[in-house]
Amino acid sequence: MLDFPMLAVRELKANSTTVTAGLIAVAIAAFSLVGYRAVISGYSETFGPEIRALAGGEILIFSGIDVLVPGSGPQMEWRPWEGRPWQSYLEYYLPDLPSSGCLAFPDTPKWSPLNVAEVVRKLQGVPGVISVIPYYALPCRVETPRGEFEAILRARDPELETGIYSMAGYISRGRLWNEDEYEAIVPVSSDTALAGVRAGDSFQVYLPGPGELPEGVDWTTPTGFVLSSTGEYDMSRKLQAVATPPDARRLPSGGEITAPEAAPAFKWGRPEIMVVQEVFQSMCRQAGWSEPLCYQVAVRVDKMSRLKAIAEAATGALGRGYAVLTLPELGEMRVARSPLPVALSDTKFAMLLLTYLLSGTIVCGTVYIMISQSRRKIGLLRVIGATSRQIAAYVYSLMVWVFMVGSLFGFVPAECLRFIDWLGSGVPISMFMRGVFTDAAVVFGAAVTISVIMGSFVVAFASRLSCAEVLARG
Amino acid sequence: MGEDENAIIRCHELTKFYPVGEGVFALQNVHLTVYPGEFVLLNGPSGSGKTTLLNILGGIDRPSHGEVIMRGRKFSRMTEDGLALLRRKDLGFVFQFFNLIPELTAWENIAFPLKIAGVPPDEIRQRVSVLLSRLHLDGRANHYPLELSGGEQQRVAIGRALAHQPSLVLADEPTGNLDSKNAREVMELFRDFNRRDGQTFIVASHASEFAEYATRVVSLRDGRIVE
Repeated sequence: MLDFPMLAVRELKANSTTVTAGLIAVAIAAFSLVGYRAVISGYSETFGPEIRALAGGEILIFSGIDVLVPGSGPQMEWRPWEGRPWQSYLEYYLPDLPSSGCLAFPDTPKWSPLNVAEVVRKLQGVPGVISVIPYYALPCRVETPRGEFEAILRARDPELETGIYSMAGYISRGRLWNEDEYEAIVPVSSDTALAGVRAGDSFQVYLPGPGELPEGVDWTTPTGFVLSSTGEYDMSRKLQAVATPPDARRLPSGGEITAPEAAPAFKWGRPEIMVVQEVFQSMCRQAGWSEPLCYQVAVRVDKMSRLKAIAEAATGALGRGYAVLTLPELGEMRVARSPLPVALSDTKFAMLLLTYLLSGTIVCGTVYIMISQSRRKIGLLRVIGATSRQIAAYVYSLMVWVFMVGSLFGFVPAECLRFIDWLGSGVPISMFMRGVFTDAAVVFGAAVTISVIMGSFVVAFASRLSCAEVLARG
Repeated sequence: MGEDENAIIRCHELTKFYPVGEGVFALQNVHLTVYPGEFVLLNGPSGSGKTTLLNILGGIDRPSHGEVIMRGRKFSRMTEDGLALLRRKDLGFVFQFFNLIPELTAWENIAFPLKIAGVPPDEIRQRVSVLLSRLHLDGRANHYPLELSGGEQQRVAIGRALAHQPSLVLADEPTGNLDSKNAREVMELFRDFNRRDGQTFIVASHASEFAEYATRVVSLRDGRIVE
C-alpha cells in the first residue's frame, strides 16, 4: 500500500541522476566507518587502557631485533629467538617469536640487555618524549602452602604510577604496595590469584643469581625473601568473555602466554608480582646482582596525536639495533587476526565526522533541490489534505532512504573485505558475525541519526511551503 | 439567516487585492452561498476572478478582506494544517492542468488522498475500484499519468477529488485543456456524481455552453458577481 515513504522511493527513482551524488557520498562515509573500525590502526577498544598501564608508556624499545620496513627485507636475516618471557613483553605481543624467530640486520647485536643510560641519553633530545621508564624484572619462584610456582618479579616506580599508567584502577582486592616495605601486588588470572596468594597473605619468594646469557640467571644458589601481598590486580576483569586458547603455552609455570591461535581478546596471563623499584633493587642486591637487567624501556610522550612522529624520531636518535614499537602497533599485532573493532583515534574520528557531515550536506542539498523542483507537488499534497507533519515525514523519508541505500552500498563492500580478511583468520564465525551486526548497527544508526538531524533543515523548508504552491505553473 | 445555516459554504464581503503596480482587485465584495446538492457554474471571461474565488473557497488562498464559512467553520480562524484537515474531509479539487503525481499510477493517484486520511486498505481498494469503473478507467489503473490521454488524466484527477467523498467539489476550468468531446464527458461525469451521490459542485468555466449541466449559474465580471 502506498504512503509517504513509498512516494519518497518513487521520487528518488525518478530523480536517480540527482540522487547519485548523495548515494556515493554516503557510501564512502559508511565504507570509511566500517573500514576504520576493521583496519587495525590504534588501541583496541577492549584492552587499550590495560596495555598502557602495564607498559607504563606509549612506546616500547628493545634491542637485538629490527623492524621490517619497506625495502629492507632482502638485507635482513632470521635469527632464532633468544629472549625469555620475563625479560620483556615481546612474547606477549608476538607469540610467534619463540617458534619463528625474529628479523634483524646482520650487524645488529644479539638480543641482550639494554644500556638504559645510553638509551635515556639518546632520547633526551627527541621532541615529545616526556620520560623513559625501564622495565626491570627477574624470574622468581614463589612458595605458598599450595606449592611452589614460577613467576616474574617486576619493579614499578611509584612516582610513575600516575593517571592512565597507574595500576590503582586494576586492584580488585586490597591496595597498592608501600614504597619502603617488602610488599607486592599479585595478578589475578581467570579469577584465581597467583598460586592462591590473596591480599594480606605473606609468601616466600626466591630470586636467582646472575648467570650466563642468554638465560641470564643462575638458580644454583637462590636467595629467599618474604613478601607481603597487599592486593590483587586483575587486568582482564572488564572482559567478560575471555576464551581460553586451545594450546596455551606454559610460562614458566603458574602462568601462561597464549599461543598464536589464541583467542583475540586480551588475556593477561603473565604471573607478574609487582613490587616498588627500591624493594626490587634491594632484593637484587641481596641476590647478588650488581645491576638489574633491563631488556625493555617504555617511553611516555606529550601528545598521542604525535606518537608516530615521536617513534620515528626515537628510531632515528637510537640508530640501528633497536626496535622502537608503539603500543598501538603491538596491540595490532596481537589482535591482527581477530574481528575486534578498534577504538578510533581522534584524527580518524574527526575525519569520519567530516565525511559524514559532508555526505549529509550533499544529501541535504540533493533533497533540497528535489523539493525546490517539486514545490507544486508539495502544494498539491497540502491541497489533498497532507498536514505539515506528513510533509515532514515525506522529506525525512527522502533523506533516510538516501542515507540507508548509500550506507548499504558502502557497508556491503566493506564487510566483504572484512570477510576475506576473516577467511584466513581462524576466528569463529560467530565472532565475525557479531562484528558484522555491530557494524550494521553503527552504520545504519549513524545514517538515521545524521539524516534526521541534518534533514531537519530541509524539513523546516518543506513544511513551510503552503498549498498555494500548487498554483505555480510548470 | 436560516437559509445560511443550511449552506454548505458561504462567503461574504470577499475581496482580494494584489498590490502589484497600482494594485489589482481580483475580487470585490463578493457574496456567495452554496447549498448541498447544488451544481454551481461560475461563469465569466478570463481574468474575471473565477479561479481566485475558487482558491479562496478551497482555503488555498486567503482573501484580503471578508470571510469564508464552511459548515460553521471560519477559514480566517483556521491554521494551514486545520485547512488541510478540512480539505482532506470535505473538499475535493479538480484543476485545469490535472496536477497528477507523475510517479504514481492512476490507481495510486486516486488512492492517495484516502491513504493520507488513514482509510483502511480494504476500503481504499473497494472505493478506488468503484471510482475507476464509474470514470471508465478500468483498463488504465496501472498506467502512469504520462501514459494517459488528457481526457483520461482529467478523469483520474476527478477520481482523486471524489475518492474521499467530499461534500463539496471545486473544479477550476476542468475542461480548459480538453477537446470538446472529452470536455462534455467530464461535465457529464460531474452531473452524474451530483445527481446520483448528491455531491455539491462549484465549477469555474469561461464556456457558457456548460450552463445546461448546472443548477445555478453565477457570472463574474471584473471580480464582481453580476447576476
